This record gives sequence, C-alpha cells and structure tokens, in this order.
Amino acid sequence: MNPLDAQLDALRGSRPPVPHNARTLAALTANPGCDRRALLDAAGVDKDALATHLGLPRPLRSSRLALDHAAAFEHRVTVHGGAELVRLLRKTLGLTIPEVGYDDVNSVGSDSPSPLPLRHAHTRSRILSAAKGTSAPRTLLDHPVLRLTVAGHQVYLEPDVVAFQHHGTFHIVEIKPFAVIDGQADSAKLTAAVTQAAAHVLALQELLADEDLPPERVSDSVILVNPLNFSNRPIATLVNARQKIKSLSRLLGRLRRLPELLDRLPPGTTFDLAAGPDNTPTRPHGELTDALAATRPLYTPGCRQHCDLAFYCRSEARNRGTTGALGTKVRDDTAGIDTTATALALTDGHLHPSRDQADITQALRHAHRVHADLLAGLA
Amino acid sequence: MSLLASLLRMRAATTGNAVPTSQLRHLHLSDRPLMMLPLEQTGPAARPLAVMLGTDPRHPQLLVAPPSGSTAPMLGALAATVTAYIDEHQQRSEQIPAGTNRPARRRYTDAPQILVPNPKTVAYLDRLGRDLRFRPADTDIPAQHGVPRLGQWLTHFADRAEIPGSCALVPLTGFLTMHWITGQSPLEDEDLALLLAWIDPPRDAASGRDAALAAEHPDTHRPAGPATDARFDTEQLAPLFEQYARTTAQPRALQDLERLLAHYLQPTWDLMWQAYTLLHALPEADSTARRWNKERSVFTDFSTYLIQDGRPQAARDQAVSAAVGLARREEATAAFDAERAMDDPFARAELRTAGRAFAGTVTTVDADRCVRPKARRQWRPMLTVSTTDPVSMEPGQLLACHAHRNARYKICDIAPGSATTQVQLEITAGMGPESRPNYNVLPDPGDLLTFTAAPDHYRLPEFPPRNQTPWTHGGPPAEHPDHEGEER
Repeated sequence: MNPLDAQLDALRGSRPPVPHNARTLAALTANPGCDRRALLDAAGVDKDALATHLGLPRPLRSSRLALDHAAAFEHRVTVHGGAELVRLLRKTLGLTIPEVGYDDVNSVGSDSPSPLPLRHAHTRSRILSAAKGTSAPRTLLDHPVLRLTVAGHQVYLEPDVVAFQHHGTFHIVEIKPFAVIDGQADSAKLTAAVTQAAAHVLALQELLADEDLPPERVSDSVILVNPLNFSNRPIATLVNARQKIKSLSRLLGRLRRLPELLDRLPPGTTFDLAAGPDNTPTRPHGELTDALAATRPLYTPGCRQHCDLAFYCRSEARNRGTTGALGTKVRDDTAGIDTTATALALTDGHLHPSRDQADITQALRHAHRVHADLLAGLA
Repeated sequence: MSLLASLLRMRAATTGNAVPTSQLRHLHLSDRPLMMLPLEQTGPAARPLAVMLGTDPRHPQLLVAPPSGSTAPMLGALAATVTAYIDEHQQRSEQIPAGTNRPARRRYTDAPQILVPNPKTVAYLDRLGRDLRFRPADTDIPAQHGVPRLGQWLTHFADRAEIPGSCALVPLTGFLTMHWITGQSPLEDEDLALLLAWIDPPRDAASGRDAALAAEHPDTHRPAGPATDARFDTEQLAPLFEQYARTTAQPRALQDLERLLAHYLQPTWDLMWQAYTLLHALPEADSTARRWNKERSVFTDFSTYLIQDGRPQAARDQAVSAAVGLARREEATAAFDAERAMDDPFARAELRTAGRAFAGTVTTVDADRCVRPKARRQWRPMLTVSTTDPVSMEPGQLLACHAHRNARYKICDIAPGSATTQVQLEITAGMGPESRPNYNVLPDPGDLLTFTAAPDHYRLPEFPPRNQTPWTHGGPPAEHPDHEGEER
C-alpha cells in the first residue's frame, strides 16, 4: 500500500470506502474549489452516513420511485439482448446488422464478494480484443466496468453501455430516465448526464492508452438514450461532450494536489464514525466537527444539489457570516470581502477599508445612504 | 438585483429578520384568484400525481391521479374546474374605442389569475400543457373533452408567466421577493415555507431566521412541489403504489392515497393563502392598472383565438414566432422597468445604486431660456441639480423624472466637485404646445428629485403576416388552405 493510500485510509477510518463514481466526479466539477469535498471523496468517506450521524437533513436521499422508474426504463431499452438499443444505435451511429453483438457484463463475477475487479478484467479483455480486431467484434457491452485514475487512485466506473463500431470508434451510451420533450431536456439533468459520460470517456481512453492504443478511438460524442416526449419510448441523441471531457480532465489533473491537502491536516485527523457492535456510530460529534473544521470548505447555496454535507457547511458558513452563503450575487457584489460582518462594518464606518476594498466600500456606503433617503421619504 | 438588494440581504442575515423593500404592488391581484398546487409523480415526464386547487381557502378541491393507468378522468376533472373558472371571466365585456393602431373592440372586464407556489410549478404547468394540448380531442367520454383545451390554456398561462409585469400566472415566491428581502440565499427563497418563515414568522418565533430553521425540519417540512420529497416517495408513496398495484380493491387504495396527499398538501395550501393575504395588503402602484388592462386584452384575444381558430400552439418555435415572442418580451421588460421607476421609490433607489439614476436638489432654474436652432424659437428651460450620488452617465443622456412623467431632460454638463456633483439639465420634452406652455414642468429651486435614465424608445418591429411568411420560417406550406386566398 502506498503512503497516500495509507493516509486516506486513516482519514476514512474503519468503514469500507465509498468509491468515487461518475456522479461524484460530476459533483466535483460543480464545485472544484472545495478542498473538504476533494479530501472526503478521495478518502471514500461516506458523507451521507456522516451527515446522518450529525443529525443533519440529507439532501441527496434518493427516491425509490425515481430508482424504480430509472430501472424500468433501462430494462426496456436493454431487454432481449439490447434489441431496442440496437435499433436506436443503428439510427444514430449507422451500425450494420452483422456488427451487432451483445455482451452483458452485469452478471460477471456475481458470486464473488468483490465483483468489480473481475468485471473490469472481463471488460478490459473484451474491449482490447475488439480494438485490436483479434476477435469477432462485440458491438455492445452492457454495464462494463472501467477504471479511472483519480488523484493517483484507481476508481471503478460503470457506464450503462459501451458501443463499439467496427473499423471505427467506441461510443459511451448513457441511459437516462429524464424525458426529451420536443428535442429539449432539463438542462441541469442534461449537464449531469453529459459530465458522467465524460468521466466514462476518460476512463475508456485511459484503458486504451495503457495498451498504447490511440485514445482518439473513443468518440468525444456520447449517446444519450432518454424517453421521448411523454411516452416511455426511447430516443437516442448524439451529444458533443468535448468541452466537458476537457474540463473534467483538467479538474482531475488538479486533484493531484491531494498530498498537499493531506499534509495540511493536523496529525491524527480522521472521519471514522467508530461504529459500535451493532454498527451504530459512536464517535462524539465534537471530534467530527473538529475534523471537518480542519478542512477548507467552499460553500455555495447550490451545494445541496450535489453534496450530502451541504447543510453542515451551510450552518458553518452562516455562523462565520460568509457572504457566499447568501448566494453568488451577494458574494460577487462584495468581492474581496469574506464576511457580511466585515462588509457591514465597512459600510457603517466601523472599519477602515484597505486599498483594494476602497471602491466596494464607497459603493456600499452610497447604497446605505440611498436606503436611508428612502426610509426618510426623501427623493 | 442591485447592490442595494445585496446590502439589505446582508442586513437581514445579520438581524435575522426580513427587510421590506418595495411597498407598492406592481402586479394586479385578483379578489378571487385560482390557487393551484400541483404535484408531479416522480418518474414519468409531466404525469400528475395530484392537484389541490380552488378559489376558497377553506374548501380546496383535491384531484388525485392513480399511480398507474389512465390519468384521463383526473385531468378531465381538472379541465372542468379550470375551464369553469375561466368561463366566469368571460361573462362581461366592455367596449374599447378605436386607438391609433387598433380598431374598436370589446374587452372582458375581468381576467383569470392563477397563483402557484414557485417558478418550478410554472415550468411544470408548461410541460403539462405541452402534453395535453396535443392529445386527441375525439374521446368518447364527454367528461374528458376539455383536456386538450386545458392544455392550450395552461400553455397560454405559462407563456404569459414569461412576460415581466404579467399577472396571469404568478409564482408566489417570486411575487413575495419583489417586496421583501430575506437573510437567506435566493435559491432558498424559492422554498415557499422558508420564505414565509422569514417574512411573516409565527408569533412564538424569536426571529425570521429561527422560524426558517424550524420550518426546514425534515419531519415537518413539505416541499411546495411540483416534485415530491424523496423521503416521502420512499417511505409513504412507494408502499401505497405497491398496494395499489397488487390489490383488487383499487378504489380503497385510491382513497388511502387521497387521504395521504390531502395531509401532505394542506400545509402548503395554507401558506399560499398566507402569502396572498400579505400581498393583498400592499397598495397597488399607479401603472398596475394599465398592465391589468393589457392582461385583460390578451385574455380576450386568446379567448377569441380559441373560438375562431383553436389550433394548439406549436410544439417548437419557428423563426418568426420566436422573433415575435422575443420582441414582445423585450417590449414588456422595457415598459415594466420604466413604469416601476416612475411609480416606486424603491425601484429608483435600486437604480441609484446601479448608476442608472441620481438624486439631488435643484439649485438653479433658468425658466425663460430659449434656443433658436432653426428659424423658430424653442423654449428649452435649464436647471442645475446638485447631487452627492456618483454620476456615471455621459452628457447627452436623456433622463426621466418621477415628478413629471412625460418630461425628458438632457444632460448638458456634469461638473464633479469635492463632495457634490453639479449636473446641468435641459428640459427637452413635456413642456406642452407652444401656445399653451406647461409651466408645471419647471421644478422649484430646493426641490429634491430623482432622475433616471429615460427608457429607450421601443418600437415593436413589424413582422410579416402568416401567409406572407415562407414555410421555412413558420408560414404555411404551399398546399395549405391559408395560401388559397393569395393564389387565386
């Protein structure tokens, strides 16, 4: 075990790691400046369990109805050897009949306690033989397992489908249950789906690059399969993910500063929940909040859409009086000033502005005068 | 949002209580609005789960769709209620005399107003309208005939909600934040329960902030829709859905679902009426009446369209319809901004912090000044305003002033001093005809006035009529009956 892994294991404690997945990688791109999240995710800390133990609301709980619906849609698309999917891909990719072959990687190693490495090995051999043309081409791999290096760590990722075009390129296929209505989808869900696909593209590129195969054989256009309008009939759309792939790859590059972040933590810092005999966490809250306080957060109100700890960071940000807790508009309007207390003290003349605060202070004092005029009924 | 709004948000966060902002209501509020609180089923696109609606706070109607199978009976009942409400407003009309570019016409004396909790519900009604308006109308069940028409109305209302200053379909959270600023983020303001806790906390709460924290407690907090809470889905709805799928006594299972949803929706329903009461207490701004007239005209026009043409609105915008829509929105935005600046001291205060207005004292008035650019003498009074506001405008900029709405002032000179700036203004409009000069337009020295940047003169560009538009841009195809007139 390398020293970095040992450090991360100590940070996580006794629980098995919660691996990065495409969703957490996508969340990283939403708030790349948050060191707290970078550390906790790298260590595989179960943030939901942490939030639950601290008695906080859990913003990312998943709805069973949503999961059922997603599973039913995916089943509809991939059932009967991916018959429906093949039909869709023929339309978008122009697959021809003899090329269609379907390989379900879901069941590989299902009797093993840790099937992911097995499934990954299976996926790897299938993809390499297809890429090198040594075997009959497998056109579709259902739930293959890929590996991506994140901050020097190997994480397993599970795309819905990888489609392989003979003489051509690999395409990542994401099957998503949100509807495309008149050619338009919910933009937040679309962005999340494309970011996840981008993570899968990077993982597949890594696999090829390791074997000295050109990573360009993975298309940077990904295929989204969604319900069409208000039906549950699927429709496939080719989406250009080049920008997302670039930004995600840049972001993953930045995560290499992980050792630096770890070195800044006080020795002995851990997020271990100290599970008791009946598996309930026993770690005193104070110790956990101390450990959290040792990491630097970057809270924005949007965090609740992608982070289990959002409510913790929010109350911390509110207690500190961080301007960002009031939204990006307030944060930008008071750029260079960290807290509302400072901003208001500058406004009310209790503090003298530094040189780079002079302009914003003048504007705030003017706004204060304008409000005073308004309250006095003047102007 | 302006710098003033940001400052007040920080003040509210510090004191723990919301800060009142604009004290004038810019949207007409009906005495009998249709409150609508829809829930969407998690999963299938736009499939309704339930709608609580009505005009009486004490007796809401609750419509519940079955977890699986046809939603048509529920939608039929929804269509019946909404259509009946709309019909009420089509009973009386008034005669409008011909204007410069419109012939004389009739206009309904009232118009429907739908209030929903939040912007997401507006988006949901838009999606639902898109689904329903293309449904086949020829069903055999008379009770469901109104469903496609409901889709058309919902689409119409959702389109209106995009127009600034329109009050046909209003999200209450957006309405409330026009008048109060809380100490939480705008994202949290979209939660009606939290927003109202800040603005109108219960008596036993120490502050709005405390009330909002209490309102957020996962055990009692209800999101105001249209999406249901994940925990509610998993713990309460999913078991009931399963029971419904397995049982043969489906009416019984539906009753259980109805009871559950009534209980789930009731708190938000009450909050919506609480918001209504707060908003109703605010006095209307002057220009609100003009916009209400406009709203009634639009309602009348759409009612006529449904009778005379009645085809559903297009699924996709074509080039011309998109350009028309954009131009209308721009026109409405410009008009709404300009009217608020004239009506509302708070709007002017915001403009001052944004550098789009300044306030000051009139120091000198040259009432008799005339210029003679051509043969004729023109009366062009000058005045000097002394202001402590930073003036970021350039000479030549046209200004408007709330004291004389029709007057326009041109900046001739800006002389910054150590504490105050002297701005020299020439009055260029609003002086009346030469024969009867309007001396009221002249301020007195010592008057305290706010000058705002005059709205650009916005003229709706002319667009080709439908039968003159090529089919590529949304016109009818060559063989379409709309073309027959011109071909013969």
